[in-house]
Formats: sequence, structure tokens, C-alpha cells
Amino acid sequence: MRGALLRIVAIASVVLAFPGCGGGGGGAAPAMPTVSIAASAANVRSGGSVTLTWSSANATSCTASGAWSGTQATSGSLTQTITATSRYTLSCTGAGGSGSGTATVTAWSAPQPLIAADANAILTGNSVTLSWSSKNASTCAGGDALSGSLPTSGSQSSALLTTTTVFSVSCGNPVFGAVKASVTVAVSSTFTATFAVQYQVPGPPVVNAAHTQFVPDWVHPLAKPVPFVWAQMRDPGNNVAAQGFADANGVVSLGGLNPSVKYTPVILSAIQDPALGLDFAVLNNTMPVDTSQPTYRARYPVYGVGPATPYTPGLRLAVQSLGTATIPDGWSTTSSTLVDANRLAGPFALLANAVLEAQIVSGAVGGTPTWRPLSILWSTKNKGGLSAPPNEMDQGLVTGSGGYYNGGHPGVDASGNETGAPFAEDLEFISGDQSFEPMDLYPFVLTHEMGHFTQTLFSTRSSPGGDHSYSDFEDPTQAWIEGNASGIAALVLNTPQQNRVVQVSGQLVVVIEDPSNYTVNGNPQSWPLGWYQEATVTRLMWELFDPGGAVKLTAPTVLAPMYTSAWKAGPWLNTPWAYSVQLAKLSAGNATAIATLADSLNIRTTGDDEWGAAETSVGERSAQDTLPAYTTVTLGASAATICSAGAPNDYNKESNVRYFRILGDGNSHTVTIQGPSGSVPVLNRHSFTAGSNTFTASGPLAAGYTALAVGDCSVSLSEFSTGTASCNEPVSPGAEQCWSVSAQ
Amino acid sequence: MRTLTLKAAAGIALVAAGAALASPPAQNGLGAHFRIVSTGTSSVVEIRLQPKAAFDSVRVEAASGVATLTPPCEFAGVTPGARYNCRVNLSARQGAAAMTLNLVGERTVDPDRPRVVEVSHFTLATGSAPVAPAVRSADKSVTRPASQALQTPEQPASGLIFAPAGGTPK
Repeated sequence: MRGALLRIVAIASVVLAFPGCGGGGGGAAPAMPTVSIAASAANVRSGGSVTLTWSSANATSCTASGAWSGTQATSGSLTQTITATSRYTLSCTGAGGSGSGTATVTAWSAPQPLIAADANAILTGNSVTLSWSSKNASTCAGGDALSGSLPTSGSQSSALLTTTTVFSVSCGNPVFGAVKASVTVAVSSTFTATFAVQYQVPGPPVVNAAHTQFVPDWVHPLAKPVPFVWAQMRDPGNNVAAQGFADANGVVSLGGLNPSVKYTPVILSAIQDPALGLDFAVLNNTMPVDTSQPTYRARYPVYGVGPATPYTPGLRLAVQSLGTATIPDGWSTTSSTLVDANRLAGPFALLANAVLEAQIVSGAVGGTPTWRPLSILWSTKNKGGLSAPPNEMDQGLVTGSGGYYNGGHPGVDASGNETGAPFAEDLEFISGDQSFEPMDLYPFVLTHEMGHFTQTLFSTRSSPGGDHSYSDFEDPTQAWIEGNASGIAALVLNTPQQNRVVQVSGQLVVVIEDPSNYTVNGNPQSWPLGWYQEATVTRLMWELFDPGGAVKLTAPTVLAPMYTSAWKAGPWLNTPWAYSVQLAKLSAGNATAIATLADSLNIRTTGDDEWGAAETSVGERSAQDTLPAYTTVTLGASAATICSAGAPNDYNKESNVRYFRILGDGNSHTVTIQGPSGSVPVLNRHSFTAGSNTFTASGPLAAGYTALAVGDCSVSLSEFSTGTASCNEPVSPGAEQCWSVSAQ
Repeated sequence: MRTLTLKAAAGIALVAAGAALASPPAQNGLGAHFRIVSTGTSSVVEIRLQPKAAFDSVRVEAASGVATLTPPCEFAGVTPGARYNCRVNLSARQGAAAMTLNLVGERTVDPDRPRVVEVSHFTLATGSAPVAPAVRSADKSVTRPASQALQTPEQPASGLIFAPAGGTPK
């Protein structure tokens, strides 16, 4: 070490200074001080150390300055840690004046060269501009396709490139070895087009100028990404040159394109999410491509939308950003109307919300849920309100409210009517007719129907279905299924408010229904509150979840009871009681709060079981027509009397059917339902003997309870008179019918 | 719900109450019922109301597919439990597959809030809509993605908006 010190001589300087005396005296003047200072190394790694060695002559005292300080001996040495380039100065004073010396030590960190090209992927025959810079470097040199000595920063153009090329720069300093940085410029004869896809929807409803209605906020539309959407690049001959699906953020990347060809980007209304296995498509059911096909995906095309003019590729870049593609909502600021021909965003709004719901529900289901393909039928002509089946699919005409989910459908005949043999094909029909309900403008209906889809896939869906409203007293399975679907929608959309768009006097207005506080447009409503109303179920689910509420359960926790094996096994049906009791069991720490909340909403939970045995609220019916929720029919015992009530074609209202249970033993038995003269009993809204007041069924009854339902055929078989006509019921049913039910 | 394996006397396999079409909630405070009285060049529809709630006004409006609706049907001061009837004559727009009536009820509950609005719909198929011939479109795909069964439109609709416009070649 000592040898090294001797060999390495730092920068040193000696400065002489004369005393400030006024002139020569008679005696010899004192000699002026001289100072010599050296560091053991002129360059060191940052954080390293050097030894300073100094000496002086004719000095009596010395003072350090610069990177050190204080009084120092007139000679000596000192080890210093170097974290930055440092200048050490020593000034010494003697009788003859003062002198000083300085040593400088440069601290070096590892060199950090950077190199970049102005394009990382170019088309054959183009050049790039390379720019480099460095930190902690004293010298740089080119490498690979970049050669020669280079300044520590700079730029230069490459030659015309024909193959993928690497450019490097290596930089070093006196302490560290050279460090290399490289950039690879990919060179190809084809290019990749990238763009982000988003759809436009009106902003949240606002009050109109007259303060009489809520209206969609067309002035402040929102643009949201369409995740996983299908995209193509079509050449001038309409051939698909490249296609694929966007990523989760709606960003498309399509490669292998010829830069000399003008392409039309086309966005198609289908999505595929490889992670969840989603395969959803929105089909235009009013534009069949093959009327011989009875199934939707074979019969109807997806929607496609492209720009007015094709894309003219650049001739330099191999990855070309086309920007952001926005699919317009169709609102004309000129005419202040929604123009059907321009309503291109609808299918994509539906897809984006379907994906959102699938993601949230997948998290609640847990594991790796398997999603079946889903076809969503939507067009600007779609509407409901037909008085009876069959649905006229090619015309977009269906019964009911114009929005529904089902796991299958009758085959579509050549004229477009659903009259054929059934097909299993998960579907959602969504209205788009402006004068009916354009359900694509706000996502409530779609997310509600997605709730039914997820019930079918991952939970249970025992319910009569059919039309229903917040004014009704409903069958408990109906109240659960529909209220739960709306509850899922509330959790997905993070709001209990349901925006429904209708046309009033030619204007589109929004009706905001809110089950959480039983209001419409903020005005209180006298909707039934209890196990017999779906709005109550939605309210229960929201209040359990509400981030500003008292219970504050997470969405997966609120949804958890639906996906348990106990729920799916039953044998109790999916009802509000089964849900609240199961939730209280699964969330033991919140059991009291859950039960208290449910009790307050007339869904008896405290002291109750999944069968609703402790329920006391009778709704709009008499106790005899309402409770118990399940009557127990005992094998071999005398017949039980079970009373139902309702008007013809009520179908799914409270007490239209009554539930009963039989504790089976695995053996074969006969169930007999005897009704009053003139009545026709129906079992499970399905089986009856036309024109007869007796119905029997026989066969093995599994061990454990089996839940069944009995009601009057013309009341509970169908919501359409065309359906109940097959009952051949001799007498129009009275307000109440009582059935003798036995199992032998 | 488990499937009951009992067999009906008529030999029908019984299943527990199964799922039917599941739709979003519709409003029915109007207690509206529609009945087709006659169909033809001009159709007649009877509208009956037995409201469950009060409405300041209830009126029948022509929606899509309706060319004429006569006479006007409107009720003021509608009260719960009362019964209201009217008949309207409808004619369809040329080529319309169906005519839809909207029964619109409005109620001001709080002058400081937007009105309560309820709309009930009724759709009457005309059976006269032209059906466009459908021909299977040529498959232009180079390699179809996993949605094998999906049909694509021959030509996309125009209207996609790029920002920057048309994409900026670089």
C-alpha cells in the first residue's frame, strides 16, 4: 500500500505567498512557507478512500479547506472516504507569510451508458437515428453496428437497414471497466397496427331544463374501453388480412400487414378473454345471414364497425399506432336526437359490461369457473310487449319487457319465428328500440340479465320467470331470483340505482329506480317490503354491501351463499329466507347484524331456517294462503290441505303456487293432488291432467326432503292465456283454491 | 332444486319448477292490460287500467311502427283501485313489423323533484314486414378465432372515429 502511495502522485500544487509587509528591512526576511500535498490516488470508486499526505516548510500552522476543514499539523497524513469528486486544500502560515497546496481526487461510479433509436421496429430499407448518453463515463466507443470512438453523448443516423440490427455503445472511466448498452432495431417487411378501442355512452342522468325529468347527459358522454374485443384489418377487397382480440384494456395489436396496402380496421361485437375463458357476442338478430339456421350464432352476424376511410400505412415504422378508436353513441348534436343508424356503440357497451360482471362474479365464485358462450341479441329494432309467443326474432319482437336471459330457446324457423325444437344456447335479448326501451344506453338491464346467466352457471335458478314489477307481491323464488339478479347488478355497478330509459312525448327520459330506499326519481314509493318483493332482496343485498352502510360486507361475501354446495344441494329452494339464513351462517361474526337487517325488511331470519319456517309476514294474502312457506306432507299420513290464490295467468305472484315438502325414503310413492270440482291442479307449474281436478304422479322419492309446488292450472301454468288454455279448466278459479295433497 | 323422479299418471316426467325467461323488472303501478279487439288494415286495441298508484295523467302514445292512433286516449287524476278503459284505432307504418303503444303515466310527488314516470308497452305484430333474403356471407377470414360459429357482417358500418383522425403514420 505504501508503495502504491509512492507511485501514485496526486495533483499537487504549491502556491507561494508573500507577507504583506511594507518594504524591505534591515535583516534577512523569514522564509516563506511552502506546502506539498498529495493523494494516494487521483481517481477512486465512489465510497472508496484515499490517503492525503502533506508536508510544509517554514510554516507554523496549517488550515484545511475545500473537502476538508480545520487545523492540521504542518505535516502528516489522513485517510478520507471519497463519495464525490473532492478538492483538498491546505494553507500554511509562518513568519514569512503563507503558502498553500491542493490535491484533487475524482470519485467515479460505474459507467451508465444509454442508447436509443427513434424507432425500435422499422420497415426494410429505412434508417434510424441513434442517440446515446452516459453517466460516469470518460470515454465511449461504438459496438455491433455502431463503430468507432464516440463522445460520451451524441447521435447519428444509421445506414439503411435490411435486417434486424443491434447497435451498442460501451463507456468506461479510469476506475471501472467499460459498460455496454445496446438497442435492437427490428426490421421487417410487414407492419403491426395498434389501436385502443373504446365506446361512447351518455353520462349519468341529469335533470332537464324544465326540472321535470331526468335525461341522459348527452353533453358529457363517457368513453370506456372495450376489453378483449374482436378486431380485424380488412384489405380493399374486404378480405381479412389480420385479426385478433384486444387485451384487457381494449388495446388491439394486429401484425403481418403490408405497408403498401390500405386497410380498414373493423371492430366486431364479440369478445374473448383467455384468462376467464369468456366467449360473448352481440348478434344483430334483425339481419340474418342464413335463415335456414335455427340457432342464433349460425343465423345472425355480429356487428362490425369501421372508419369512413381506410388507414394508409406509413412506410417507415413496423409498429404503427392508429390512435384511439371511439365507437360513437349516435347522438346528433345537430338535431338533438339519437339517430338509430349511428348507434354503433350499443353492442360494445353491452359487451364491456358483460365482461365487467363476469370478472366480479368469477372472483366471488372462486376457483376457475367455466363460462359458457353467451349470445346477446340486440338491435335498434328490438322490443318487447308482444301479447303472446312466439317471438319473431328476425323482426326483433318478443313478449315481455324486452329484456331477458334464458339458457335455451325454440329453434327459429325460416320466417324468423321461434317455433322449432329447442336448442341449448345461452342468450340475452336486449331491447334497443328508442320508443320502447333502449337498454344499451345504461347498463342496468344487461347486468341484471347477466345476473341470471351467472345464477344458471354457478348457482341455482328455480323460478317461474316471466313478467314482474316492483308493485307486485311475488312468489318467493321469483322475488329471490329477480332481486338477486338486480343485487348482483348493484354490486357490479357499485350503485343501487337502476337507470331505465323510456320515451315520453317523443323525448328520451331516464327513470331512476332505487330499491335501496324505495324511490323513483327520488320520490318515495309504496312498493311491498318483504320476502314477496324482489326490490326487498336487492335492498338487502345492497345494504349488506353498502360501503356507507352499517354492515359493509364485501361483494364476494354478499354473494357467497349462492355458490356453496349446501345452496346448490338444497333441497330448500332459492328464496330470500334461504339466502339470509345461509349468509348468517357463513358470516358468523356478522350474524346478528344480518338477521336484524333482514328481519327489518320482513325477511324473517332470526330463529329461522332455510325453509322460512318462522316467517310471520303474510304480504297481501291471508295466512292460510301464505304460510307456512313449505307445508310438510308426510308419507303415509292423511292428506294435507294447502291453499293457493290468484287470478288466471297471474303465474308468478304471491300464493299462485304453494310449496310443500315430502321426506322421501328412496322408495317409490304416489303423490295425489285433489282439487275442488271444476279446478285443475298443476304440480310444479308444469304437470297436470287437462280438465281434471285430480292429479297423480308416482315414482321413487329420494331420501331426504323434496320440495314441490301446487297451484291452479289456469293461474300458475303460464302468464299467457294461450298457455293456460291447455288446462281445459271447467270453472274459472276463485280467489282461493285449497288442495288435498297426500303421498302414499 | 332436485328433480323429482315421480312420473305423472299421464306419463309426463316431472321436474321441479324450472326457470323460464328471466326479465328485468317492469313497472306495473298502472295496472295496465291490453286486449286486441280486431286486427286488419286498422287494428283496434282496448286499454284497461286498474292503477295501484295515483297518477296526475295517463295517456296512450304511439310508439314505433304506428302511423296513426285515434282517438286520443288520456285520463287525468287517476286514482288507485279505480278502473279506466279506452279503445284506440291503429294503423301501421308501411313495412313496419309491429306497432307499439306506450301507456305513459306521470305523477308529481315533490315539485322539487323530477316526476315519477311509468310506461307500459304493448306491441302488436303486423305480420306484414318484408323479410330480407338472407344469404350466408362468404367467409373472408384468414384464420378464424376461437369463436368458430360467429358470423361476420359483409361490410362494417361506417362511423368509427380515430383520434388522431385516421391514425397518423409515423
